[in-house]
Amino acid sequence: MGFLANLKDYAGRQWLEYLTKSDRVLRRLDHLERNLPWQENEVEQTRVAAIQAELVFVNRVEPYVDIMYLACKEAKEKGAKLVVFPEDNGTHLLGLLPGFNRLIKSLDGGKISVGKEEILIADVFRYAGPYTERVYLTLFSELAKRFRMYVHGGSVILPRTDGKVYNTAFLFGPDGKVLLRQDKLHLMPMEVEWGLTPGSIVEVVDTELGRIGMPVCMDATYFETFRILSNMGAEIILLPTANPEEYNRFKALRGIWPRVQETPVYGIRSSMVGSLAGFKLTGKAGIFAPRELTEKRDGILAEFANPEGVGLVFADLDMPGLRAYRERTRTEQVDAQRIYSRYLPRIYKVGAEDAEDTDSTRRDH
Amino acid sequence: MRVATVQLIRQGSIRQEDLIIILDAVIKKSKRYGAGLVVLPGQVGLLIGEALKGKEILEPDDVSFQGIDTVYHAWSKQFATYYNISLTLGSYWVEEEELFSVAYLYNQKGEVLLKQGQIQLSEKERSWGIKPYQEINVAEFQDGYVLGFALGLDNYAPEHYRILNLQGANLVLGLSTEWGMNDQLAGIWQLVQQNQVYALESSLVGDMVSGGLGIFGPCEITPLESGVICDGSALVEERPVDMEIQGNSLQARICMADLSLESLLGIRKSYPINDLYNVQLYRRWL
Repeated sequence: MGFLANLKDYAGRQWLEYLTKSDRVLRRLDHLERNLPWQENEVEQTRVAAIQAELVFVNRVEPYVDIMYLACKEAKEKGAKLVVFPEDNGTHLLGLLPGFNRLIKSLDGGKISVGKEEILIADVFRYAGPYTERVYLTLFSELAKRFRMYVHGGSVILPRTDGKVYNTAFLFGPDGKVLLRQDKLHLMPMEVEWGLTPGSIVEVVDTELGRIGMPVCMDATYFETFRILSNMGAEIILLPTANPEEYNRFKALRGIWPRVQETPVYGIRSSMVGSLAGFKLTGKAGIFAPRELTEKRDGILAEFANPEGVGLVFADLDMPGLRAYRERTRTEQVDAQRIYSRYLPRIYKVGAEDAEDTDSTRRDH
Repeated sequence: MRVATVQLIRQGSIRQEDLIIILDAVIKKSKRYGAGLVVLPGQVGLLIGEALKGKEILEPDDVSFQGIDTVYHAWSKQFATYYNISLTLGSYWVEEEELFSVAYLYNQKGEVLLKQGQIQLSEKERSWGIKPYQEINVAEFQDGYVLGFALGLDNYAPEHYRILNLQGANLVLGLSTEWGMNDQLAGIWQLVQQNQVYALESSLVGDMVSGGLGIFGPCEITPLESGVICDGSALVEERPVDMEIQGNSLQARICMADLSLESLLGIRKSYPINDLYNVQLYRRWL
């Protein structure tokens, strides 16, 4: 890099440092709490909320804080103990990058033109990563603490010290601490083109609500994700999504709903709408249960009506009911699982077999 | 490749001639309209047993296993060769080293191409002493199709369909008759979607058994992107099925469709679910 380019890069980074200081986030939250205070609403039920939000690129941190604060405020005031934000919920902050609008217009497939150079989208996330991460972690930790509830901040695309870029979701406890972090395990073909890397670790966490697992979007296309989480005892699965296609009720039915039925677990899907990298994002946030645990036996506790709108949906989870149902159905599975284990996982023969073990890089945040 | 799948609705006591007449009519009409493969329902053995014994079969204790087995294979072979068509007559209970529920696929020459037993069993099936079958098999068919069976509750088991898919199956014969609730969206339909295969659902419906009827494929290559090619159970809209045959004590409803392997391979290529498995993850935790 030449002297001038170095200087420009330095100036750009200093600007981002300034824009993304944690103090700015905290000051904005103080301002919102003063001017738009929230009302406590304690409910006995295990009430949860899923958010449907629009991806809006911001050129300052404050509007981003406002969006997330207002969603948490509504969730809390309606009695939710857990709120789930969508996939790509840190992508709004790419708007902070100098020249971002020009950059996004030059997008072609998974690549972006910067001057004469072509870079991968992952490189953009890599560059913005430290700033995005600081705002995201500060904001959602603070929201969880201030609202005294579990906050799943949605997923955010971040680089790791191994140089790879992952799509990672975070769950914050009511004390503001990170309870669980989960990389997306199955990438969409588009994300492969972008240069992202799939995760290779899956974890669950015990909370006052139940045992939680939280894969990301495309992970729900694969029954394997939910089977593994269920084997680990997960009872509630949080699934942030950002689905890049026109809405179709059958195509939209292919993810979390059948996984909830076959596993069985409670499933909470949050949805990002708007547009990203030339793709229209659609989807309905929803809260799903095994059919036998829903009034209409349709497996739906709550679902947002408009696949392109924004808002929240709420439902009360019957955890004792779910546990009893799982106990009833578990015994039928034992013999069959023994037979399947003679085939799986041995006969998987394609895909990310060459993915490196990222255990060592997993905990570098 | 044109295929046909059948729902049989029991409406009264089954006599042997009634059963033969309706099976013959179903296979003859399917052949006449160009089908190369016909799929009859799960638990068709109950009907054969009733026809042999002269009274309704309610559980395995009522059954002459040997008699049903003999008739099943004799009829399968005769229908296949007479009409020059590949078919499965459905499933039935058979006493081998243990009691299983099995189905066979016969080719036009009257040869057995594939045998499969049911693995996932309901509480009722377990109480009758039926045991889970120990293998999951596929067979090369014609025109590049590779076939596998899913019987009863196996049509709700993601592992079963995944194992078929990984062994090369691109067309699943889903004999979905079961004791209990049937819900195609939670079963065959979604298993087709997550494996990018075609599936033919057949079923026997009566006082104690139920099941759906349909031909399914990946949403992207089906009308209205619904995942449904022939909608015998009105998942998308209420429409008459392709053919109905009214017999003395049985009604047959038939769904037919032309499947395109090229379209299936096209969607597998453009959206390669099978290439994006996280094998390392599964090897560690599955």
